[in-house]
Amino acid sequence: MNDKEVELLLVEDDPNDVELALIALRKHKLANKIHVVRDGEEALDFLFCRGSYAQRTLNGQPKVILLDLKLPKVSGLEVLKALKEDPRTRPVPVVVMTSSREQRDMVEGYRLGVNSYIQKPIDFDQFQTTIRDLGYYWLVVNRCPPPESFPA
Amino acid sequence: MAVIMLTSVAVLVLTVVAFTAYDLVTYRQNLVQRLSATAAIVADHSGPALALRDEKDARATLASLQADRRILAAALYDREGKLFIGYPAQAPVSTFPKAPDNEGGYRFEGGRLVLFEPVVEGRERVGMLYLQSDLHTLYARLRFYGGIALLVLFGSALVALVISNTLQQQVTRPILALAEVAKAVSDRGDYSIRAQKVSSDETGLLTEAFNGMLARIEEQTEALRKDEEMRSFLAAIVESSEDAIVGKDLEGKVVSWNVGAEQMFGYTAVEIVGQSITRIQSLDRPEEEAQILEEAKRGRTRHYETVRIRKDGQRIEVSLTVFPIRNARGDIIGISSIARDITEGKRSERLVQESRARLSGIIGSAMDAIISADEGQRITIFNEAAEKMFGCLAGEALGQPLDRFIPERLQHAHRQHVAEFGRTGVTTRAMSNLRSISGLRANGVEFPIEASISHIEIDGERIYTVILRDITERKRAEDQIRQLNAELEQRVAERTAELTSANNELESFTYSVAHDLRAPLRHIDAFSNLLHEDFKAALPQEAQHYLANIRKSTGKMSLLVDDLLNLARLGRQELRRQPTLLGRLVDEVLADLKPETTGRKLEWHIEPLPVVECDPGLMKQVFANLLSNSVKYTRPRPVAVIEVGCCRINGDTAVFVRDNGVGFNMKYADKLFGVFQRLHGAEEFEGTGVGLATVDRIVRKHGGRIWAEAFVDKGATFYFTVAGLARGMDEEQQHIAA
Repeated sequence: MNDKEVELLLVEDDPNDVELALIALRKHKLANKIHVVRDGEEALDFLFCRGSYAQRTLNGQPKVILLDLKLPKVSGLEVLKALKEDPRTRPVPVVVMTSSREQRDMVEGYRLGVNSYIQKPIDFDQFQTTIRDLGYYWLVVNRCPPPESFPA
Repeated sequence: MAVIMLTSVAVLVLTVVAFTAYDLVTYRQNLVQRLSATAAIVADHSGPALALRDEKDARATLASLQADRRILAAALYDREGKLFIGYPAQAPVSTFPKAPDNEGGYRFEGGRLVLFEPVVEGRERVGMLYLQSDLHTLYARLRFYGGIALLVLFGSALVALVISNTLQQQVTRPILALAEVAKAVSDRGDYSIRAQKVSSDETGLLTEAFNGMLARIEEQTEALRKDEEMRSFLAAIVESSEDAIVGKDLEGKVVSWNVGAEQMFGYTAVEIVGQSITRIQSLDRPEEEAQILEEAKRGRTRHYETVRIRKDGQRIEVSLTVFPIRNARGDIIGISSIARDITEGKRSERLVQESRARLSGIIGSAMDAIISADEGQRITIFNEAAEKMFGCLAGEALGQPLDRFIPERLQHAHRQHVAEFGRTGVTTRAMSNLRSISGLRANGVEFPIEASISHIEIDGERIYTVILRDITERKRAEDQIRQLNAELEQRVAERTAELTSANNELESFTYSVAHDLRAPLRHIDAFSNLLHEDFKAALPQEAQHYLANIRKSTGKMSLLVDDLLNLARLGRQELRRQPTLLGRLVDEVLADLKPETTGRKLEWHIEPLPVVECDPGLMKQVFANLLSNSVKYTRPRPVAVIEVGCCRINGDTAVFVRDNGVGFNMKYADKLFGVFQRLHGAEEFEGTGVGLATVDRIVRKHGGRIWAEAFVDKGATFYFTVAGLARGMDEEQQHIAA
């Protein structure tokens, strides 16, 4: 997959969730330019173009990041914090998708500047609908930040 | 002088008047005699002429009267009383009276003497002679005498004046001066004035005698004044005395009674004077006064301490001094007694004894050691507690220096402390915080004490009193308590740490349930769904049925997990109280219930609900649970009736939710609010058995309680209370009334 063309970054450690998300996106023809990372560290490497993603450039950021909270190594909230604290990544829209119903996670997410916060519905039909709406909105409806918003 | 003048003038006037009167009377008689003689002569001469009516002769006779110049007029009347002839011849007829007096005689009339003399010829009266004489000489004589009298009067008055003046110089003046002095003395009451002696004659003697008398009066007056002064001085002493001073006669009757006596015995002087002194005698000493009198009559002065009875019946104790009173000759004429009220003195004496006894009782029985020491720090009091504390008998301790009971190393500090206290009066009341305060038992063992010290000065001598408490036991107990406290704190800290970690574990458990348990659930659901959708045609009927069961169970478990999480979260969730309109919460819940009620016939009766201070999110869960239960359990009813309101029940104010649903058997009512407790089969009514447990927990968190009343097939009513609901309801009703 060409990194430069990544439109949606999925940060998810659970392979089942990854699969279900991809199924749902695929069904609605939204799965073309998706990249999946399995933990917080990898997500940060990808977004800050370091480690195994050192060849990436910062101006090729995805249109949206779907971020799980419960991640190995670096947690989702820590990833969010790092992204929103750095001016280079701050403009990238981040959508938290979690199965947690913890109020404090949501509060903390918004405090750190999350753009959207979604609870994964247990019901698969609802899950599919949610994923479809999400992809459609962020990839099609929403106008993503122009290159000028990313400092060199 | 005026008296002398008046006397002499009066005498003179009387003399002159008498003399003059006598002379006038004599003269008048002479005058009448002379005129009568003239008349007799003329009448005798004119008799024949009248009888013969010889006018010429008659006229000549009358003309002879010319010789007497005093004869002013004369006339002859005939027998018939007719005027025969008049004299002087030329005088008018009116000069003469018309008719003569028949009797004759004389009279004075109009300053003249008039006389009628009958004219007789032979034996026959032939007419009447009339003579009128002038009284001129009489008046001349009178005037002469008056002038003489006046001259004499004047002269003699003059002489009298001169004489009296001279006499006055010699006699009257000294007497007048004396009178003046007497007046001054009596007016001013000043007996020191003296008359001046002018001469050595009788008036001089009189003045001397008068002065002597004044001197004596002055002396006596002064003596009297001094007497009076002394008397009132003595009386004032007696009256102002607080002691009762009573005078009695030899029979024991009261003759004098001072203010002190009035106050002491309650009788006024008026009441008691003249009465027997035995009135204030105590009934239990009937012979006492008689004996006292007897002693005094023998001339002895005696002191007594006895009891007297006041007018109000109160007994007073008195000290009496009784002594005889003698007159100038030395005879005993009365008895005086001076009484002093010593009731108070006696009482305070008793009080002092009592308090001394009480004090020694207190000191003896005190739990604390009480030790007194004199200025030289020698022990004067050493009570039983001190004996025990120091292991030393009082007999050994008394007179010993205090140092004996103080560890040697502290004696210096102790002496300094006492000296400091003596100087400033400031001491450490409780010295427990001073570790150095220790006592020394007779057996040489030191022990901790708590001490307070006080000092008093009696007759210039300073006495220190120390109260000591052996705090060995207390110190031990304190140490124990301190140790126990420390252990307890340690244990509490450990337990708290345990609890904290347990709580943390529970939280992470909850978190993992929320996250980790839900994830596989979602996956099961998702993949079974995919299987169902994508491979339905390839699956046999039975497999499809199993798949549906898997999906149903997944959904149920998902609900269960959600509810359980909710319930667990309640435990650690803080209430966010705010004034909340309960009615609005109900409206919101009704809106949420819309999907479940579509297609059903439901009657809602929602009464106004008050504003209550509560956590609106949690309170909404309460209504959501109760109302959805009602909606659920009325499902078999063609028309479901659900009421929500607020009422007073058994003295409580409660919100109720009532329905006409299937109800339940009250014997299971206690299971209603337990977790996973269900009274209906899952086939009949779905549910996790967590909802009412959640409601119960929320209500209890709000300081309320929840209960239910129901009958099988007759519907159920759930009541719950919340702190502040009653007040809210009152306000709501007032609002409605307004």
